[in-house]
Amino acid sequence: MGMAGGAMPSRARLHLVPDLPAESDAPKSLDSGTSARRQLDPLLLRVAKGDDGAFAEVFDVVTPAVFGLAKRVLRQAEHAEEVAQEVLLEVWQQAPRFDPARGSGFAWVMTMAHRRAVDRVRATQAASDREVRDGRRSPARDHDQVAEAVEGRLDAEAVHDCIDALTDIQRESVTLAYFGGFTYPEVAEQLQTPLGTIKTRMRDGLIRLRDCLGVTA
Amino acid sequence: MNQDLHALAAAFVLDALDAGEAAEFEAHLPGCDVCMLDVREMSETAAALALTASHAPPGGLRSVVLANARQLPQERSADEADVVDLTARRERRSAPRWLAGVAAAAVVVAGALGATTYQANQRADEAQIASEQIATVLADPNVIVERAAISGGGDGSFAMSPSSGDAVFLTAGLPDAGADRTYQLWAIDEAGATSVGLLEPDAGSAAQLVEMPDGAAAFGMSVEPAGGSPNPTTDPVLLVELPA
Repeated sequence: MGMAGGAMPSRARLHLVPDLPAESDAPKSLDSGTSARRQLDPLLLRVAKGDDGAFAEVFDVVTPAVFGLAKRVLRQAEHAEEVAQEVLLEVWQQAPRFDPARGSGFAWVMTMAHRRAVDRVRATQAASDREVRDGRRSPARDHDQVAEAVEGRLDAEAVHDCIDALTDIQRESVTLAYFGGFTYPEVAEQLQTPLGTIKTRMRDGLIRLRDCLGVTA
Repeated sequence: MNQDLHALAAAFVLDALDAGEAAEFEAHLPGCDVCMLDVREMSETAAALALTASHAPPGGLRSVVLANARQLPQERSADEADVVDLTARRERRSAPRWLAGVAAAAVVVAGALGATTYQANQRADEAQIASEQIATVLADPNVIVERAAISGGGDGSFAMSPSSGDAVFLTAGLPDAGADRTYQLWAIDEAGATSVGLLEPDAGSAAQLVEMPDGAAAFGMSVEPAGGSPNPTTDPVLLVELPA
């Protein structure tokens, strides 16, 4: 759909739910969007002390995103479930290393989740197979709406709007890498675009998303 | 060169670099404030993308994860790790990042197979080394897993990495072997049985590494006099045939 002239979505949508005051010295980031994700950092600090009740709460907050991401990348619920298990147990084990001064807990968890999903898909499925089976990844709004709380859906919609505001090649570059698990040379091949262009589009695509979502470190 | 590396921040955050480039970029990161800021902001941005894929997890996942976490030791914090002696630190640093997680996966699998008290009481470093080796077996995508009941009580699962011959025997609910008796493990081929170790169960459970010789057709366990026997002297209480 390309660039929609002047249709940048409002970044304000991600700050709709200011029901809890953010800690003033905490990094402001996307997770300020919902109270559940905003509470993640203090929960993770409790998990770091071995608090299994806090871990259960962390599980409930992050698992839909962890499992959903793994499912999108791996396309097999069974593999996604295994990856989700590994990620959640890694969260439990690594929680003492989590440092909220270096980024949000949600980003910390999702970074681990994405690495594991991508490692798994690359170990088990050749890129060529994935390409044939899957074609290009459209940013389809196929997330499980039943599973989401209303506030989570608002966030997801805002992210969709920001994805839609990218140029085609920015969107394809970012989503083939993130949801397809492709390396940038593989993305370049699929889009029949020079490597350097893909690197640049990933970069300016993410920067544009960052600005659209109002992410600050 | 630095300019080039800097341009890779987005691909790095999207896990779109190959392993070599990712390592190069990671090595470059600590000295590059701009890169660090980019990675941090882009990581928050990428995490937001995952929100569009949210999906209700399978029903049984929660209880499995919570049960396994309770048995899994946590890492030390960065502060605590600083007082660990140098050798330990070197080992810790040189361990690839996936290892801790794979060890976690091993516990998941061990739990799923029924060895629920897996190493919970061992000293932490011993447990870590063993669990890493066990994890390597269980992480093999070609791992062979066979499960069988043990006559006399309990059941066992045998997981073998076909490429290395390294195997893990997991068991739970095993009755005591009896006074002056031990459970002994065997690799069996056409020529007969070769001892691959004595089982060291803890309260009837074990997750034990076994090195299987090439060409073994089966794995077995029998009750033998304490200290073990050169050859099995009783009928096996467990026998698992391996795929050719």
